[in-house]
Amino acid sequence: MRDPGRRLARGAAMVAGVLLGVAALRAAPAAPDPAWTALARLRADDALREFARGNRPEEERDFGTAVALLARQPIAPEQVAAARTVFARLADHGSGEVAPASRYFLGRIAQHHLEVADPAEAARQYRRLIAEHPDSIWAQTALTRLALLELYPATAAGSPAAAVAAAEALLDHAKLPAARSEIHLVVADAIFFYRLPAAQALPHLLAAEKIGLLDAPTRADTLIQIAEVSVLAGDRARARRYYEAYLADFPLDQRRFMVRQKLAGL
Amino acid sequence: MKLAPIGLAVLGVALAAAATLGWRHGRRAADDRVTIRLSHWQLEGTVREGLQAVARRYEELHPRVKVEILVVPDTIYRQWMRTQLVGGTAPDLIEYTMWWGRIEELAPRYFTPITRYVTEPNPYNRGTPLAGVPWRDTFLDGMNGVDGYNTLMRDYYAPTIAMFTMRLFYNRTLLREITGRDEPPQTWREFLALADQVRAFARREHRVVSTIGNSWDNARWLAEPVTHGMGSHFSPQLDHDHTLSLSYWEVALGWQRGEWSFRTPELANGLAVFRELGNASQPGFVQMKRDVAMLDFLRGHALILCAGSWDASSLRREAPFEVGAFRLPLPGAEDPVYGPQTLGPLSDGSVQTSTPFYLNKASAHPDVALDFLRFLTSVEGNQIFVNISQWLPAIRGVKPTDFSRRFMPFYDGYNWGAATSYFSGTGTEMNMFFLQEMHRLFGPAGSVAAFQDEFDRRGREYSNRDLRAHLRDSRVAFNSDDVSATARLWITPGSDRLPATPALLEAKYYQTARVMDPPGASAPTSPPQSP
Repeated sequence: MRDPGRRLARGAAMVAGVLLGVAALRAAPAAPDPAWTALARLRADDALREFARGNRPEEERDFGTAVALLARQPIAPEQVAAARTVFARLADHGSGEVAPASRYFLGRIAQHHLEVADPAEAARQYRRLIAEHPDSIWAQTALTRLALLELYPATAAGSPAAAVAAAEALLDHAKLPAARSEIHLVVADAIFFYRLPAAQALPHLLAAEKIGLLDAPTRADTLIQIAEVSVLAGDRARARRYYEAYLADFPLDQRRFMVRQKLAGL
Repeated sequence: MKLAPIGLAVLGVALAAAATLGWRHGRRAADDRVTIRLSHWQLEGTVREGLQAVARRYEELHPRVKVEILVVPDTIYRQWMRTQLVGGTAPDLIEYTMWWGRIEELAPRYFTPITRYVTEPNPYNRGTPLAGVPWRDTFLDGMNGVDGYNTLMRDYYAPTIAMFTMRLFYNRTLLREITGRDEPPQTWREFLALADQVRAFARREHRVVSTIGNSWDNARWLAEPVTHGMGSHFSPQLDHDHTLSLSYWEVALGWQRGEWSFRTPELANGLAVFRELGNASQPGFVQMKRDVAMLDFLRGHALILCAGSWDASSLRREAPFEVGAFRLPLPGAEDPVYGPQTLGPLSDGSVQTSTPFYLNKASAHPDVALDFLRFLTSVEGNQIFVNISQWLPAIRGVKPTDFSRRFMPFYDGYNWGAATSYFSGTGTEMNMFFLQEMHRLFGPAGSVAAFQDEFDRRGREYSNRDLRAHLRDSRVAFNSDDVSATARLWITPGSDRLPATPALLEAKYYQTARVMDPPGASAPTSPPQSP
């Protein structure tokens, strides 16, 4: 015969288990959104299905669908055009971050997603975004893309020095450290590319390094660049500091022998 | 007998039933486990056994997991992999290398970045000196090699398991027979003298012996250190961004801008040295594959084989003679001909690890596959692999074997870049052109001038193809990045990363486009050091 007390105890334990399980589920972090997770992995077809059936705000659904259209393979011009139409509507009438994000994508489509790029249109969208939503991360990202369009204009007008000056002027609008860091880096790189006097790159390299957001390979490069350009500018003390910082922070890098030779020659 | 067929039928049914039950039982046992698959092309020596041993150890630790390893020969690997990826049947973990090209197109489409995991410690390093160390920093190259970290995508992708150096392997017995000495040449001039001795020996003894057992593949491996090493005196002139290292763009755009060519004196010297090495090889080697070169060496028809340390264990197992190894003695400052245009000492290149495994985006068990990657690159996993494969380790603290220790890289020297080379200049097309045309260097009819003339005539055609492909692939990468970065920002708002390809990388696209199609008068000017 079964013991009724034991059955009662087992029933109570089961109920407690279920309650604990429900509590645990409630306490667990929300499951990642399947549509955006699929998109993060560039599974555009899966994302489009999820956006179509998910119970989510209309703006988010339309925005997500348009973003997914930019990644669905094979990418046809028609789907880029369809995405562009949605972004144009959301950029003008969307709320929250959807509006600036959509304006940003209008710029990106003109810059890279069209079969024939339209840099003038990209710059126009970026400027409008920066004016209308200066604090948005999308405007801050647009600043860095606009810097590239200023640095490497498609037309023959203007000199490399003027291009660099135009990009430097964008720093006044860069509020996020990441945007400032990126603009400093691309300006310094353009100075090297155009073979302008290397010392002009020094303040930008120093600023980017000071902001502190560089990933490891970029930081190793930047420390060496600061040291090397400091040598050219005649600042041996600074060169020594940065060569030594590189040696201290990058024990496995391939350039250590050469940096030690440089240090010995100072 | 009529009963016999019936009996046989019954027996057949019984056997079929037993077989089916057995099969189903086997299937059940297998199906109870999560199966992950890994593919690679490493047929050398005991490498397969090394990977199998790591897999078996992992299965001991995780009885619910089965690791299947697929070995596909390198001659068909790329086509096989593409087919599998497109068909959605590719393994969970896939060996690939950016040196095979098109990684900018493949990575965003098929491979999962592992950036968010590399700053976490590898749990399999618990109880070792690497406990608590971010996974990335447990690699000898900080996972910053060309496959570990994708500079265009700005993401970490593929953990690596080994490190390689190029060496000249030699037949010690044959060297003694030819020269009366045990030790290989230490300088370039000694090497040339040895080549003369080998020719004289072959003539005198009526034997088929060449100094170098060479092939199309081996020549490619020789071309790399020769052009890079001989070019090291010139390389600083291309280092426009002052990083003490040449980037792909500095070499590729430098070529396109006319800042260097194979007429640049230092690089022409490199071709001359490469020609000497080719002329010391068996005739017709440019038509042969690496297997032929190795066979020539193993049969005693060649004194020296240029190969990577990846072949060392094969040579040790197969050679019926004592095998030695030495570094290629390139001309140094003391050389009477090339001395003034050389820079030394030269290092073996960067500390770069290799044999990378990418995580398939379509993997049904990405967490398990990632966990296996962690074990494979843990101190224990890498030590098991190294002990059996005789390859050099990729992980800090893992000890090479007594045998492989002799191939450890030499770091204390000049090296102007690991991610680029002169002979591959602008990319895979130019690399192929170099290799297709290198025959013009060798033999009585060959010359450095003949090679230079052909490169002057058709080199631009190939470099244009490379750079146009690079522009196309870059846009694909930027566009993929736009989408995935936006999704990541939506999932995790508040990141300090901007939702786009880093602008510094996108700048390279514009620089390339500007060099390819300069907008009239504002095109960048070439510096004066053009040869």
